[in-house]
Amino acid sequence: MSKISNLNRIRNWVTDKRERVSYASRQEVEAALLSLNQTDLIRLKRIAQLRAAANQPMSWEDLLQEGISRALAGSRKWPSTVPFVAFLAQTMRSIASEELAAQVRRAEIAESDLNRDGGISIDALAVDYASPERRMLSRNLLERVNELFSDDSVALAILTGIAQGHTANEIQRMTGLAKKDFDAAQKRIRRGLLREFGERGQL
Amino acid sequence: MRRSASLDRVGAVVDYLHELVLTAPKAELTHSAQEAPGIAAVIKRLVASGSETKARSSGKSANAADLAARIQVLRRLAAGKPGASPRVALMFRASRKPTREQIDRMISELQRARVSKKAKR
Repeated sequence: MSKISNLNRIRNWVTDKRERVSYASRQEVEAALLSLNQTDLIRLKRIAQLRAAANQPMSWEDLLQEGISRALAGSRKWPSTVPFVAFLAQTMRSIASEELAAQVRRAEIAESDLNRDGGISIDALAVDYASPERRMLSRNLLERVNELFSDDSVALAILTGIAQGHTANEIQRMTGLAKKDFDAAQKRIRRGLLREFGERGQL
Repeated sequence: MRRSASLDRVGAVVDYLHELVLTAPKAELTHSAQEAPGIAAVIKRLVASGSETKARSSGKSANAADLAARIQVLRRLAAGKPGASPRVALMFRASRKPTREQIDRMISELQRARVSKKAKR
């Protein structure tokens, strides 16, 4: 089969997929929200706490409420193919990310960054946009996570690999970890994290 | 703009932990069950306040629906009277969005014309 007909087949498949995605109505979102069970509620709270820990000063309550409000208002549409909890979790992730972008937009440009014409030099634009507070917060969060698993070298190796942008497979290959050991360490990370949120309410 | 390396690192770790929590088995979350009623109450409140907002906004929709119904009446009346349809069409073409008063005036004009036609009979 020629390359062009293959491309056409892929294009048609993508179009079909897009057309087939339907979105839930407001009533369906309300029904899904009111039927969330205890486990789902705790799961959503933990995800909100985690996102808030990385996105201060936004509290987890604000993040969760904003996610729910957007789902109800329809400004974030729930695709029928996505489980509701995953959809809400993703919505909170987007809100946290928008909030970070807004912080960046609000970031002041120092007078010394302006050139003689009052414009901004390319050098100034290339500088690291994160505020010192945010960099400190990020460092603290990573330190806190590292501290939490300081007595678990395998968990630390996984977290370090993730922080460096590696995939699970790459980390396993680099560290020589068997899949079974990798999965067990992931379980320890998850339990440690959930225990920390359960006991302290934060990281 | 260049992202801070520490932000990139923390972003990757948070996304990873997010996935772990999202896929956590039920048994690992149920020991915090006492926290659930508080979140459920927040959700109930948000759903209830959302319904109130919807009711308020549907007041606006009712207004729009009323206007649409008047336009229907106008078109029906115009269709029953030779020469009225082009006038109505012109009214919509000329001002694009006639006011409620303009529509009502035209309706009463067409109704009067119909009554007088009946009266003549």
